Amino acid sequence: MARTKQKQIKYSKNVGIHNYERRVWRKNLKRIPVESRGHSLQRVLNENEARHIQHSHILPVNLSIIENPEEVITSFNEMESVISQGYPIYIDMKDVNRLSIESIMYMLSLMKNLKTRKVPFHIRGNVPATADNFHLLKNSGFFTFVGNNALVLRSNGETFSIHESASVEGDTVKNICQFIMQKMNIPQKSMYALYDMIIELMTNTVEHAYENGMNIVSHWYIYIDYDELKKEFHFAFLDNGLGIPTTVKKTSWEKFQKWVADKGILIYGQVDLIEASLLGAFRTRTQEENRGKGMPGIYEFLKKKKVNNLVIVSNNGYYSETKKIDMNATMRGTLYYWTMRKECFYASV
Amino acid sequence: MQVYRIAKEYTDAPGGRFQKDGNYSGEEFREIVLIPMLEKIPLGEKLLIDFDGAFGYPKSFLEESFGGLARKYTSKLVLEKLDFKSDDEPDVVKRVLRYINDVKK
Repeated sequence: MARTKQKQIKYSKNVGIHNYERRVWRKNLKRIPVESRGHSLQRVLNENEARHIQHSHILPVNLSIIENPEEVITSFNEMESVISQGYPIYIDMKDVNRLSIESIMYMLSLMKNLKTRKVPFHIRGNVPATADNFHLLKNSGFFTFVGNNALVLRSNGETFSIHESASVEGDTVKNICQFIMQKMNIPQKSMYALYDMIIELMTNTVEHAYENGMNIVSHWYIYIDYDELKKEFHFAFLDNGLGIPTTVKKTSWEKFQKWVADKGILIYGQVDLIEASLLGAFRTRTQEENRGKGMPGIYEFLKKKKVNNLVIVSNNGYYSETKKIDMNATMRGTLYYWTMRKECFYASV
Repeated sequence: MQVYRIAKEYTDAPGGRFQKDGNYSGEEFREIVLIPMLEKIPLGEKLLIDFDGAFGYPKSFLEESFGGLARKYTSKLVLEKLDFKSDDEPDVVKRVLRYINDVKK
């Protein structure tokens, strides 16, 4: 009966759930299925009597970090803020008409970090109304993740579901290469550049993306899909660490200032730090002579057309060959996105 | 000449730089394969390292394996004891030689 008395729940008028769910919410308060892991709804009700207002968070129509970084990142940051305060949240995706995989990965990464920080969260949501976007969400492994918190690498012929790990995994990259070889009928020895690049990204995450004692999990996510129409692979690699502008070591200050001056840049921003990192203007945080080859190596691949359409989004910086901007929104970690057509695998190293 | 085929005898999917980062790292390869083999090579002979058959060789892996070997034994000694072969991707040999030669005495 005590629980019933606590049932003076105040709802936001714009809960955004349909009538059936409203009836379920009110009638079966004790048995509401919790679709996220964390504290049970009942315990939260006991612990946080004031926090019974479910927020409905509507995601942007164009939910692509690559195409719409400012709005999408701001939206995710707001979502995380609501969740961190312990409010139940309903994620409304039904009007999303452009869903991209890196956004799904970023969402999963935020949830994982909240769970690691033992933030109790209660997330429900709907799915995009369009069939293509629903299938992308389903094939990505998103539901598997929110269901049992496991991400399994598998291929359905066109995609690799999102794979997540906290270590450098040669076998994972080998599986990716085999998938591509089979899809494009290209030999194993053409995989060298891609293999190198993905391992370097994993290494950067594991070695540089996090400070000791940070209360987030050191992890990366990777996803690949094949665009049958364009005959190209799309890659997305995400780490949810400190971000390139934060982690690059600026002790080679004179070197960096010279680089900035040579570019004719008067005031530099975070995107300039990303670019400088690609060009090898910084030492790595380790400051060791034999280190710091990862980012320049990636830039080398870009210049030699071994990868196309490279986009790097990190903290406030958005870098691509054609667009370099400092955003108002701040992304946690670093996203790498690129595409590869068959000729990329044959470009000389 | 003795030949060591990495892809067949160690792994066709090399990892990153350090053992703490994951399996088949450059550090592990150096410690459990290269160093023991180097120390057993008879005087006047060489060991051929064959890179063919793998999916790739990350720069971090190569630098930690062979650059690390040169930091332990000197570039001169490593180059006296080892030869390299990579028909799949000749650039791998160039990189390895650069990492070895970049080590300051």
